[in-house]
Amino acid sequence: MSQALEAEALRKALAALGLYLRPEDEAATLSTARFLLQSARLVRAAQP
Amino acid sequence: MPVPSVEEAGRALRDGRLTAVELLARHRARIAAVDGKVRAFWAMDPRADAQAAQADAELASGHDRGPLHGIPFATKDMIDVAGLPTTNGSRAMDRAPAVRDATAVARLVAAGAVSLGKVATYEWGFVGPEAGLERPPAANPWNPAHITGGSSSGSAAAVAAGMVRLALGSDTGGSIRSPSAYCGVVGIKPTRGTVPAEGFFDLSPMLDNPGPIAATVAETALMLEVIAPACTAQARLTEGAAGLRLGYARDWFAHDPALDPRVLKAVDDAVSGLSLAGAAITEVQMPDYALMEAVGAVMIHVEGLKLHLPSLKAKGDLWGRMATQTVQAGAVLTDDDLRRAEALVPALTTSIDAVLETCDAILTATVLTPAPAFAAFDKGAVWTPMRTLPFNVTGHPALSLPCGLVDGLPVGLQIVGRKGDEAGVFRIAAAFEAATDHSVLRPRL
Repeated sequence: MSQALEAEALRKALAALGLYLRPEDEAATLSTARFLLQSARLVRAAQP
Repeated sequence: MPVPSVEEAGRALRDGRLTAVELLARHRARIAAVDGKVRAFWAMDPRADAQAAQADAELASGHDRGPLHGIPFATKDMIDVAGLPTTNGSRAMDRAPAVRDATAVARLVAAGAVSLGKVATYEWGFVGPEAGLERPPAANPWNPAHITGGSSSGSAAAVAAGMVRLALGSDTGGSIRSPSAYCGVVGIKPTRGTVPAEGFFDLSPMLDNPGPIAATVAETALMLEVIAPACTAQARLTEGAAGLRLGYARDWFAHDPALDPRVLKAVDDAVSGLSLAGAAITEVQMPDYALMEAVGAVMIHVEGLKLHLPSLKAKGDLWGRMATQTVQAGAVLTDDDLRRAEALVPALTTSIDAVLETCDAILTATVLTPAPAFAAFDKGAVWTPMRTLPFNVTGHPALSLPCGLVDGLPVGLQIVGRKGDEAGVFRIAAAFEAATDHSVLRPRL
């Protein structure tokens, strides 16, 4: 997924919670979100 | 001049060479002399003078509450101290004073200790250091251009700078152990549930652990027994390392590309030192680190976003950028992710238990680099590699103590024990401390 699409998906997820992604927060939030999505993938793959 | 050890002060208090009021004044003089550089203290407890005077009056009348009688301690500002606000390092936090002491604080005061004041934390215990918040972040006493680690940043910095010997902290993913390692002091995340969480700001109920940070192994064990009376921490401090079987989890960190090779050498040397002291060392295979970290990260971020969502929505403009970015990122996770992560905890715990059936404790690195410079954080949060979060996931006790200097900055050896075997962990730490001079090295401020 391109960075623009990732940012849009994150913005939608936050909007659903009533939160707004400030432009100055976008890059750092996306970086952490990518790490978390990778973590969730690892967790799913390890399910018994 | 750094404040005296608990043992030295205790002797002086009991043979009349020192009063608790004078000891409190020495702590304040040290704070006045060095805290301008370190920035550890955020608020002083106005009850301290009365507590010190009471300690003197009681000793004069023959009422001795024990080894902490008259000894000052500091408290991380995520823990309630009656009469002071618990700020959690955030402008968004309500500033009403806490109505009562957290259980751990109350137990220290009941043991005769003197509540000196509140010390710095990263915002909400999540991430830092961040400039531009209400207060500047605490600085590393070994080199104030470098970070302390966090989130118990002020607790570790205040002890390392000789402003206090004992401090309360809390550890959700390494928040006691990483600042202890970076600042060259001793800190333990006890077995889950050992220290009551009442009065502590809960970041993740399953991963949070209040605990002590202190200047030496013995002082850390003493403080832990006071805040967790059912815990046996001091029983084996003098037994030495002879006869111990220790598992070295070297492969668990030695191949991480983020590792500073000088940290590997310091930890290798520490393990060799324990071998020379009589312990039998074998390398052990640990569960996949990446998976353990992933489980912890999912739990912290899902629980953290749920906890903070009301504040973020109502007071988001008062939050710092790093905490906002970190907490909001949790929006990409779901409750299913949390359930899946929690479902893996029993198996991961069993796998660490299985390693600990082959040895008395596991040795590994606490942090993989020395403390980075503040300048590295100018453009935002920086990943600081460590090996702490897995034991929040599994609940095993894990202690960090100094094991060397890299570029003049401390790094730490981590000792992980069986659940409930704090005494065994402290035995190993005490044996290592006695065999080396790392714990007597102090920063020059």
